[in-house]
Amino acid sequence: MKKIILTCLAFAITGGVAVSAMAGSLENLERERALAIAALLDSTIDVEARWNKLNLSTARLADLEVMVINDKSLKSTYSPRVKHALSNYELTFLAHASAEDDKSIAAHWFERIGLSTDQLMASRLAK
Amino acid sequence: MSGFRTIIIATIALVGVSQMQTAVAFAQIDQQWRPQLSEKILLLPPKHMNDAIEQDFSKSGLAQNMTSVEGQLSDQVSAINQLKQNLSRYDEQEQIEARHQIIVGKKTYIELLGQQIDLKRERLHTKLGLLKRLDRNLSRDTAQQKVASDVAQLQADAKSRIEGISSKLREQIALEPLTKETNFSKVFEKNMTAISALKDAIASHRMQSRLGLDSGATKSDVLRQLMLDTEADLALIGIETELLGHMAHLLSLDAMALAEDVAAQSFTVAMKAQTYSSPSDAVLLFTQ
Repeated sequence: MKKIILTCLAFAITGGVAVSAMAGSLENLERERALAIAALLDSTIDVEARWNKLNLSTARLADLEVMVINDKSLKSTYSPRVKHALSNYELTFLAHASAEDDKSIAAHWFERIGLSTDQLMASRLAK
Repeated sequence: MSGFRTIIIATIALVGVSQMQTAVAFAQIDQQWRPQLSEKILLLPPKHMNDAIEQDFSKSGLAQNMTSVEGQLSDQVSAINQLKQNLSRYDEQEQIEARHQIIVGKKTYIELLGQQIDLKRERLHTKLGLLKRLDRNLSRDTAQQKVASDVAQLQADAKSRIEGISSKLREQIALEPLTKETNFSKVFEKNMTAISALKDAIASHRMQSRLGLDSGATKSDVLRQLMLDTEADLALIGIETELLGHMAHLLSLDAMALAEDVAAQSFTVAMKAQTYSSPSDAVLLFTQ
């Protein structure tokens, strides 16, 4: 009985590894982008730590974005998620889009989701 | 007893006839062209698509049949030419016989040509059917690929934007003291340079222009062009049939001319045979 359970566990672990290994380029990019935004919004870290984290993320994002645009398997995908991600270039390809705008990733992202200084100053408090 | 014998004979005759029919049916099946090509032919370069179809045809029984008929036609033409060349050497009687042989040869030639035209028509109809089937499958695949092509277009747009800014971003990353250039980045650049060099070599390869790979014509364009060519060949077959009709008309006139000549000759012979003696012819007998 113990053997069977161990075998099942081994299969489950191997299966999990296989699934994680099969994660696509776009999923990896989205994961890294989520980590970058989490670092951006993390109030528990100081400015220097955030700066370092974002620099590391930029380098990783630059690579992952190149991987996504060269991923031929995406062409045969009919998923609306893929189509939606590729349609929103400014938010999906954060590293390259921010370089295009000559801004940091943080400034670019805040501006794209409507949280720039000007937009915040123009807002008013309402009940 | 005689009734039993009749039944046996009738049965044997029926079995014999049915076996003959089966043999004839098998012969007809063998003489047809059943294309063995699958949709994989669409993967070939456009220029080779037609070659593959023709190669498949050349292996068929229909092609063998057409080659055999072509051989017979060629023999018939040389026999007629030989007879025509020798016609002046014959005497009058032999000339009549030679002209008769020429007419018989021409008749056989026209029959063979008619058979060949029917076979050609069959070949073109089969080819057209194959091309239409391939076109239908291609249209179905194209509809399925349309959704994928939207994604491909978006990806291509993103790629062109990213390639435009990539070097600037790399420089910015390299300027950061704590960030090292990633291994992926190094290898990617190297591989892209190699791919670019290979693409240049492909574009300048002499076979590239010969195969017509980048002529801009899509597979459906090529199929449509092949279908148009086949339709044009079918129209030419119609004209060939008309030509054959004129040949047959001319042959019938030749035959009528020969019949008239033969009749005239026999009339002359008959006229010569019926020469009756006259008393004036025998005058010398009496005077001397």
